[in-house]
Amino acid sequence: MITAVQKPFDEIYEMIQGYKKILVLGCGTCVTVCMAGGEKEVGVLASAIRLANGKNGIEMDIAEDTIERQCDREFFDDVKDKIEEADAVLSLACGVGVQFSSEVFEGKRILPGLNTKFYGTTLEMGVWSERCAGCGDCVLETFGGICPVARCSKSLLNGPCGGSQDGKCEVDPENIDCAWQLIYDRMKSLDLLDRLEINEPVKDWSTGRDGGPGKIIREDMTL
Amino acid sequence: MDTIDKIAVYCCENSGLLAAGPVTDRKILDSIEIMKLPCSGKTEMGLILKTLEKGYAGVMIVGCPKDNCQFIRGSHRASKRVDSAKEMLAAIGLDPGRVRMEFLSSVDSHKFVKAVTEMWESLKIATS
Amino acid sequence: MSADKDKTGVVLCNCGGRNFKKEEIKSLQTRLQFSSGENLFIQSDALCTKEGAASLKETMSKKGIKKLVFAGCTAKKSGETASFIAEKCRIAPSNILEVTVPAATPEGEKDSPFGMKEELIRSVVKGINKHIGILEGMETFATKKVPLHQGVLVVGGGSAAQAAADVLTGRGYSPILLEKEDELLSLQGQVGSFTATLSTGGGVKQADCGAVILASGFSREKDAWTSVTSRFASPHLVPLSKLADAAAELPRIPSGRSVGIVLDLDVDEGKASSETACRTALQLQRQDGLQVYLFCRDIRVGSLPLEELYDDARDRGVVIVKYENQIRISGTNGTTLLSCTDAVLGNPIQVACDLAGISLYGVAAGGDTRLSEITGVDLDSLGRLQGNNIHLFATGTNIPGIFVAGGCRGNVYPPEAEREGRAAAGEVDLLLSQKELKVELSEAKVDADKCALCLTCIRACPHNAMKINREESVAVSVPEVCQRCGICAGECPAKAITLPAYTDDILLAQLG
Repeated sequence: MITAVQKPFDEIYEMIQGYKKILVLGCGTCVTVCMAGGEKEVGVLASAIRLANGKNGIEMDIAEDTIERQCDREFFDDVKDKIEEADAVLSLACGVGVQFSSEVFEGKRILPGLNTKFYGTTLEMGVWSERCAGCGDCVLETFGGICPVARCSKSLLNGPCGGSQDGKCEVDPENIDCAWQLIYDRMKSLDLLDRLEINEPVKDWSTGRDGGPGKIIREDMTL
Repeated sequence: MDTIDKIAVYCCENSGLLAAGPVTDRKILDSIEIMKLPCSGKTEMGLILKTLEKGYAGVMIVGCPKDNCQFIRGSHRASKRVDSAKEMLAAIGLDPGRVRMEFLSSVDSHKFVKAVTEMWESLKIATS
Repeated sequence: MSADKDKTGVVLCNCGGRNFKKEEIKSLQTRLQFSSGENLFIQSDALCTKEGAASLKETMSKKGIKKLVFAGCTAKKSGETASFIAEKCRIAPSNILEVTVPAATPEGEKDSPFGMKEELIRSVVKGINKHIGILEGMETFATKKVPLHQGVLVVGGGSAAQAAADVLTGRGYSPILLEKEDELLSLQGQVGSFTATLSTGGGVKQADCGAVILASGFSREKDAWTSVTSRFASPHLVPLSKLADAAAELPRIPSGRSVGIVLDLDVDEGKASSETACRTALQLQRQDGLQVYLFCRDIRVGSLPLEELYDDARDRGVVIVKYENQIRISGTNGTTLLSCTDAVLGNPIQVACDLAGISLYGVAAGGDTRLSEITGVDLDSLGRLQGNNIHLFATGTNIPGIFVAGGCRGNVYPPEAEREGRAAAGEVDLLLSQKELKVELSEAKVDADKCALCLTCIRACPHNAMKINREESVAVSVPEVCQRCGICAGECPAKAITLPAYTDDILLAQLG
């Protein structure tokens, strides 16, 4: 899923200054699961803002709500009125939701409460780890299910660099495993080690972000 | 925001509530509002902050000692929530001492009284 | 989350007329705040008797009262009178709240915590009104009857398991005894209705049971030995169980051979280790040409035969060293050096041994991970089943319906392991003999619209009470397992979970 973390409180507080009516809007999907922007976090943040305003003698109306997702138009129907009444919306959705809210509510100031991080997995409760870079041309078959694009710090496709020590990446030896060590170990356990000797040609990066903002159209699904 | 000159004490019913029971010191009892929880693990940041929004001087969460929680890990979770709340208060610019976690068992009435007294002392210092 | 229309009433037990005078009760009654305006106050003089309870039940049903604030004395232990009333008047236990009325004091008595009666009345009224508010915001709980399957699964082939099985058979149960723990492939369901998948003989079969006893013995031997050999490079180390055989192979020399025994390497051991150590030490010391040195942080000889064994070993010449903190093991040419500090005099002691036996029960490594994963029973910091929590001792676990005994929870001393097996069987009987559980439906409730199936509640629940309802894509709490602790409600990032007796509204309403 998409993972995100809440922006530091002072950054958020700075952003909302000057507005008289704020709606803190949460999202019930990815950011709920990674505990950054769900209904619970909305409540906590709204309370924190009210307490800060109380301390600083600032008058501000803080409303709260959470919708299923902020990346699909229909879910905004329930909060349409609240959004229209607010001077600004502090959206706790990922970057997609923040932008889409702005598209749906033209002219409305939508502020991002989160920093969107990566596509990742839950390793254990409270710990999320990056797995996919959205390159648009999946090569996991070649690398035994471990992605060198997302998990190698340099996105190398033909083996490790000299910074691989004891299975760790020199960028952050304490926290980052060398993806190529992982790939090697995995291919060995799958008995496919000889496949790594085949040269992987230069990747066509245009299938992903580097080809410009993407768009998918399924003609068979359009109404 | 109205101020309520009391500490809201959320007591786990297996430890805190029982420890508070025998307390008869009126000065202590009048300075707190006791709320019963099934386990301190039910505590969450939202509840703590909403309590402070109501104007309470402070929030104390009372739970079982860490390896002796009736529900295994309840007081451990509560302690983490209280730490997060303290961080949030500091980020807002409020005194983190307004939230406090206390571990005690059902017979520790003296510890209960001591905790309330200490918290009031530190709150008064912070506001003076 | 809405509270229902069922009425909340107040009953004040005046303890045979001893607590309050008539006028005082009248004064108290007028100060009670019921949201409906209807003053649902009942007075009783002897609530703790059958007649008192019967009269209360009748009054309650006449007035339509289903939730009750009970204000009474502290004569019975906290909660006892409330449970008594709950049972006799058929109210769900969570729908009764108690306000303690301190023992009656004559007016103006100086030592009384409340001095004048007025203050006492005021404080009782405050307590009652607070609880009326709570109950008026709470739903009336129904009760469900959960049948308890009478089958019992006992896992283990040692003395604890056998003792448990014997007690169960003696009490009329037909326990399934699994001698090897790997015969248990999986365990589904919950207390009263577990389904175990077992591998037996040639195939796989399923067995239903209401309770499980894990008595699978000490499992860490292999991991413990691997840990020892990886930490200490000396070739002259063997597990204590193999020491006697290894000593037999040791060629004797005129100056004699030194043999070491090490207990408590990482963690303190128990009686079983002391017995094995003393027995082995005595056996070897009796042979010519061997001098035995026994190192321990403490020797546990708290029983007559053990005490005698220890004395025999010492009389025979075994040198027993009690060390403090850690013992160090290092290898030098041809010998193993055991170094430590004497616990009494503080002197450093070093013995060069030709051979040393390490007791594996004292090594911190490995754990019963397989059984823990299958059953959900927590492991403690030494990888033993149960978890270090006084509320679980001696044979309970974090999973309702699953009990532990003997070596797998760390007690390898046979007489005690057997005792635990019998105790666990007793707990099972206590549970299953009820034939059914009366479960109040006040377990955690999950709002399907908000639930994102993030799995947080499932991971956070200490008792494995949360399951996934696949058809409705929502997490659900199993009423007979849920302990109503509220941890799930506190953790849910979508605020989808409420604990009905402690909703946010109920808690916040008390803040005024």
